[in-house]
Amino acid sequence: MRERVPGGVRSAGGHGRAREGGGLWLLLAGVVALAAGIAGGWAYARAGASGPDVVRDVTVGWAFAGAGLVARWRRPANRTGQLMVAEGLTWFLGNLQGTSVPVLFAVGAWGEALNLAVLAHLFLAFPDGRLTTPLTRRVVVSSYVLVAVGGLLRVLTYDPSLDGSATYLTCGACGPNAFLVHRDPALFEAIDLVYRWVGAGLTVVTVVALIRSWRASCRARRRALMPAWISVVVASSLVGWEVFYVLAPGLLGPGEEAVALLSDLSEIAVPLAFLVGLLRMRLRRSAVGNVVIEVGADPTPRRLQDVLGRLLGDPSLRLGLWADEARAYLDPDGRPLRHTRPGAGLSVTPVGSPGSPSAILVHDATFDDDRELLAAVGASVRLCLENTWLRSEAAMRVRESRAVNSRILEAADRERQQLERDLHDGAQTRLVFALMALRRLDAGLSDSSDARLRNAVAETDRTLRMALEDLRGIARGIHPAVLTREGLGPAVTALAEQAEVPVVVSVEPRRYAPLTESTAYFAVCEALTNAAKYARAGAVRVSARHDDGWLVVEVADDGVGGADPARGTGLRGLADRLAALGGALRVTSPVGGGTRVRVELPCA
Amino acid sequence: MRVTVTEDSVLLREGLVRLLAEEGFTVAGQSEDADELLRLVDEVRPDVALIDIRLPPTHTDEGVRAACTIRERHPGMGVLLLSQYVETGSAVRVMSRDPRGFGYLLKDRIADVYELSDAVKRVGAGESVIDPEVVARLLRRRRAESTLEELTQRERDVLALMAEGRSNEAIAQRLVVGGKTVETHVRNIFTKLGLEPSLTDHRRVLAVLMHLQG
Repeated sequence: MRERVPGGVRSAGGHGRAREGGGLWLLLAGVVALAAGIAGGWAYARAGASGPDVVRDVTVGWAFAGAGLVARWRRPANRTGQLMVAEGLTWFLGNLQGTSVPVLFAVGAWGEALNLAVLAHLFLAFPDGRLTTPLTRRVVVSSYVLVAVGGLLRVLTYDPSLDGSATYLTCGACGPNAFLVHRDPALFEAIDLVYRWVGAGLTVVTVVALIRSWRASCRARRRALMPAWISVVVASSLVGWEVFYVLAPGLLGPGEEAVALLSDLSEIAVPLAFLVGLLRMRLRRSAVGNVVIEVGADPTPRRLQDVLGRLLGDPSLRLGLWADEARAYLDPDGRPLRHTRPGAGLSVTPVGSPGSPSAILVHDATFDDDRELLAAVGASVRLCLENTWLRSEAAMRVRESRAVNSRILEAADRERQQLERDLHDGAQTRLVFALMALRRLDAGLSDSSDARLRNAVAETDRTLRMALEDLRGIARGIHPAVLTREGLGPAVTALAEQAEVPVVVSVEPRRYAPLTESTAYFAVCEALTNAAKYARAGAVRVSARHDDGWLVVEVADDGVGGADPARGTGLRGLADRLAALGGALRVTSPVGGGTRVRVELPCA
Repeated sequence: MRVTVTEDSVLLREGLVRLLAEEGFTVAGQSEDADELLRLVDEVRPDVALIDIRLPPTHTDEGVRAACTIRERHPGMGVLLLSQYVETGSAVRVMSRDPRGFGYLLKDRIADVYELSDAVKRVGAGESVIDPEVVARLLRRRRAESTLEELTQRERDVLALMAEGRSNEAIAQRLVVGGKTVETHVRNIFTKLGLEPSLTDHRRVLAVLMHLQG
């Protein structure tokens, strides 16, 4: 059974620990971000930035840090929050170049582009918080290496007093650079140029990787990515406009300020959009509670799969049920699932006991970090499946017991038929023969004068005929021969012919299974007996017809009514016999309004 | 008159054979199942074949089916069916094609030598014989649907005898009335039931039975 366990059976342990340490982490990160913002803003202002510029700069940094803290708080298992906080902190790193402390200037100059590397990391890891493809891992590692090595080489040759335009700060009074080891403007320019071009190249690769990941995403994933990418696209295009304005000032006149404002706002919106994307995925967890409601009265695997796919926004979601015979997980169409192991953006979540999951969910890897969501989905699926299994088991039990019951009734029916035949072949034949012998005796005595003897013969003749009549009645009660031979119609007609009450019969000429016929026949017997015995009926109408897989027999009289199937063994026994065959008995008998007995029997 | 006897109970078969022989019939052969019967009638060509409805192997309607086969193969041959129970359906069904020389008797009747030999003779002579009990049943059922309400008691008696396959003379004899009276009753019955009046005896039995059968 071990081979049934697909990869990635999860334990909740790590998740729990993440949550316990979460509070302290959030507090510390918040304090650091606050301090970094204040320090960064102060340094930025010291480097000559205008008031609005400082406010914008601090707001964007804090927006990243704040959104990251919320993300970390709401989705502790997802590393996106940490990355956003890191982005918020590194955002201010470059501003350190505005201080007059040489070491801080050097660190600021070295890490000026670190926030861009973190941003690439954040974009590429979103929304899972992990880098899932080799390409994205390579891009991110290259970015960090570029900042660490390239940034260091650059800062080793960077003298701010010689080149004031090498940073985004208007750096008249920046520095000095504590890390400066070799003052050579030409070398610096060369290093700086290579550094920027490699950075631009990595940016292009990042964009390509993002486009590829978008195209490979399922709908659920795209929905999560959507707000983030929209904000990024808007922000980059507005920044592009701003650059355009800087390059060609006054071209569009007073629009400049509006574009600058929108650009600032859109930059602030980026981290918020990332947060929204992240939390939107989380909202689905509450939707999972609706699975049981949505699946409702139709808990088939197909419906369950559709509902889950819709609620999670993952149409690629597949539900596989373990089939012992096939030794495989089968999809709702009964075909073996193709992917039962994680990979290629898909994840597998087992449902049921960890050792031998009774079902698996194959779904987009987007949900992997949200273990609570997966646990909720698993619980819902298990609930629905158990419901289905219990239901089908109950239905199977009912079918089984019905089959057993009808076999018992069939056997009893055959025994009665045999008994009737034995009576016919044995006792009845012997009685007829005895009558014949008696007739011959009577003929021999015709000229005898012994009146007592002849009376005795006549008496014996009468007794024998009565015995024959009795026997015939008994045999008919056991199982009427005409039923076997000619079916329900003639048998009911024969019953009607002997009834004490006038009976009108309309029975469709059609044969049914022997047990169905005999059950219907005895039902009519019972109803006719009741009509004659208790109902004081003047007329009875018997009908039998085939109606869409059911034999429907109705016996209606015009008697006193008031019959109660709960009392009296006749109707009770009839109801039991019908129930055993999956049929139904309905007795309508208002006092003074006649009695209508309706019998329904399933038939092919 | 040559007869064959088909009955799976040895006891009863031998009783029947002895009884018929004593009544002056020639028992040309006996058999205990339908296949044997069909070979037998092909071979000995009896005037009347006496057949139990229930025969091996299934003891259901082997006798009825054998009777139909004989009447197809040997149209002039009389067939007298013996039944343990009154089953109006099979009786009417077998004779519906051609009621001539067909009889249906309840088994009890064979105890009465007169009734049995009378029935065999009538069937042998091409008449129809329907057991009075069958007719009584049909009449009772018909009364339930109240189509016979208009008939007088005497007319009902005549109707019953007609249904049994009796001729006008036989009816007159049985009811101890004149032939003219019987004819009048018959005419009235036919009018009241809306039946075609000018029918021969055997056509008449069928018409009456079919009417009663509904």
